[in-house]
Amino acid sequence: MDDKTIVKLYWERSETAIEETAKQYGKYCYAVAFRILGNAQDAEECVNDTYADAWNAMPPHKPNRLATFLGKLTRNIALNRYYYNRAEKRTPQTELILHEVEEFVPQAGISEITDEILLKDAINRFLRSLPKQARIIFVRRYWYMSSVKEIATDLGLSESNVKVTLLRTRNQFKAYLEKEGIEI
Amino acid sequence: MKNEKLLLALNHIDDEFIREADPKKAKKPFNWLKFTVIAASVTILLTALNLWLFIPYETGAPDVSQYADSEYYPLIQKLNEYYYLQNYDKNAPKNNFEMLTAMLNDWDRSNTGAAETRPAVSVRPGAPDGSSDQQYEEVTDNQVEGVIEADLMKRSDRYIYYLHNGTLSVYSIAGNESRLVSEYVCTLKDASYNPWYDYSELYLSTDCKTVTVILPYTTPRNGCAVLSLDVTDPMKVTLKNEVYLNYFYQSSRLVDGEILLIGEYVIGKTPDFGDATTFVPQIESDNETLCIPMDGIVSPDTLTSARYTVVCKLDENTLALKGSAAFLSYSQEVYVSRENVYASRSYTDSVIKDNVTTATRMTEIACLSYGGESLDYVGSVSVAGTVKDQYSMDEYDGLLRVVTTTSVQKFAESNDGETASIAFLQSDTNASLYCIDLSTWEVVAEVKDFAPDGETVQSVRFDGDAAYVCTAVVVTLSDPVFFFDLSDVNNITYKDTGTIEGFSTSLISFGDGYLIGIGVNDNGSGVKLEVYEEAEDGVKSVCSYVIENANYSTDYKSYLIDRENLLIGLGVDEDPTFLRYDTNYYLFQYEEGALKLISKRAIMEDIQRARAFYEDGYLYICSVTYDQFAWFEAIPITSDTAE
Repeated sequence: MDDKTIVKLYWERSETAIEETAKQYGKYCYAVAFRILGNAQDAEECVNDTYADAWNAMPPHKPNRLATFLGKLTRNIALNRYYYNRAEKRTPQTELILHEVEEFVPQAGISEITDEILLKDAINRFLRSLPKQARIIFVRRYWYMSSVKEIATDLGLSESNVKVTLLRTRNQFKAYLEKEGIEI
Repeated sequence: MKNEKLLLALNHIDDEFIREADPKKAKKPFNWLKFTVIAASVTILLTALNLWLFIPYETGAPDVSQYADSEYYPLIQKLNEYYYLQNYDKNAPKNNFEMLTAMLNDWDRSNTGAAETRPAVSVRPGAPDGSSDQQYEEVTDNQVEGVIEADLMKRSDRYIYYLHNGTLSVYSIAGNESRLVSEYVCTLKDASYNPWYDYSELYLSTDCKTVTVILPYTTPRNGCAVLSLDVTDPMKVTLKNEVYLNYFYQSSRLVDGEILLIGEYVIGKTPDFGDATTFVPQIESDNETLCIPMDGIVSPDTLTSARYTVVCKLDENTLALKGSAAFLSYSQEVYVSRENVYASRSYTDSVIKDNVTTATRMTEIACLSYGGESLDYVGSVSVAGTVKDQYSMDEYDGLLRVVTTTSVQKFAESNDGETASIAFLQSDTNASLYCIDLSTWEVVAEVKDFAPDGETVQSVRFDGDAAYVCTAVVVTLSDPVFFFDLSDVNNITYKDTGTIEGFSTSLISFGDGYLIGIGVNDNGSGVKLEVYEEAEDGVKSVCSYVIENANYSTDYKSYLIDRENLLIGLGVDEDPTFLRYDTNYYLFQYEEGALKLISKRAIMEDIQRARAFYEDGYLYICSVTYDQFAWFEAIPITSDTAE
């Protein structure tokens, strides 16, 4: 069943919408959640929460690409879950990414930005400015939560190459946000 | 929290970036090591498979070097090559790939086995000679003087000995008083005589005391019995000796009290080279079975058949074995001179050039001498063409003269992958004469293609320095008769009759330059006898006699040839219909340039086995019915005997 038909089921409030969503994207959402949480039980719960959020989001949303739409929902839920469980369950991978993210968070002294739209726009403009490979590495790392090794294997690069690319990109992103006067 | 917010903020990146970085889209890096290992493995497997599929099978004859210590190793090598070529199938698979492909179709190969082995000759001593007051009289027109050929009838001045259906009938020669004197039924030991396969013959010794009967048999296997009968008292014929040969009888000769028995031994299917009895003729002597020794076997470099012509020399009186030899592949015509046995074999000499094959028929003649203590190989020669019969060869004054029908064909083979075809381009037939020096076995004189194109040799007769050859195109029923002057081999001349209607299958020298031809008439439906005379400017027909609507005996031995009285006689089937015909015996006399019929007598059916002679005003005729009943009559010949 294609994405358009599944979205239509949501809009028609058909109970088979969730069933079709699970059939088509259940494994994908689980992988996204498990990558962040590192725990099967938590990951399954996140997936179930994703179905609930999707039911609530459609309508009004009518995404063209259900994979990315659901992926975002799952990621968001998983991250929140992660932060909620952080004190008790630490996923080395996610912790590492959080540390890395610190590097491109601008320093104090710049006015804080509370407008998420501006942040979103800035992030997308930055990503668009990157070379394709660097962009893919960045998104794989900070959106898909993939490990350096996974990224290196999939792209046919060495791990050191990936690490260097990530470092440079983070520095560039930090400089970009400072230039844009964006504080988080 | 900032970090967490940022991570969450990254959730808002455009979908296109998320799709672009989807791990599912990531191309797996090329694993060279894995690829190399797999590629190497596949290459090795493919190479091995190709080797197994396309490496050609071993060609050539099988290895027989393990028999190198055998006395017969040269023979084994030749037979091995022969059987390989006989069994070679050019369409057979040449490798496993073709074999697998062929297995989809029906494909069968037969196995071969060794021939049965059996001793050739066993000799048992017999009774001593008796006495007789008979005088030998030759009735068979032998090709070579002094070399007696076996026949159905032999006689003395007093008795006729006639063989039929395994029975020897003895008749008295007494004009109107002639009668059956005795009969002796030949019985075979452990074998059965086949009257429908009657190639039996007999000899009468010059002292008229012994009749030697040669009886071929086919049950339980092909063989030949030689029975020595005491006819000292013709009214009481008794068995003296008997000998059994395990070969198919072909011919024999009696020379100076020794019988040369000539037979054919077939090796049959692929023999066991480890057992000589499966491919070498054997002889039983002194209750011992021995293979003919290697030095007693004559064979060409390349065999053309797996058949031997076996020659055994027996004492006429005791049937004791005095020598043996065998020709391998020489299994066609046999000619026996005063001192030598000649055996021929035919083969084809093919030359391929520019996809055109030129095939020339050839004949190789090998020679054994039999006059000494043993049978010894003398030499061999190859000539173009094929010999028709024993009369096509003649030994005279140190030369072997041979007349052959030559045949050269040219054809082109083509194969479009689905069908093979042969296109005949040219076919030439003619006749040639060769003179071979027996001291060097080289051709010292030849007359090639002397006949009109397309003609074949129908009959040959050598007579001292002369040779007569009748050639014809059988379809057109016309022939010339050639006369060759062979007195000077360095200057052989010939002349002919020109085209004559009909053709002769037998030529009989009547002496004084006269020749009688017996054959068919111009339309092929009748019998023609024709007298030829050598003239200054050619050979001319003197006279002829035609019997319309008739068949004649083609067995040369069945003709009555009396040169003294200028008589010629033969059996004729006249007015043949599907169910009946009249069988008559015709007797002619050549007188004053004409063939005069002096007797025509109804006889029993089998004209091939009719035998007759003229004596003191009587024509004595023996014949036999197809039901194997003998018939005998003594006919007075007067001026008005002819009907």
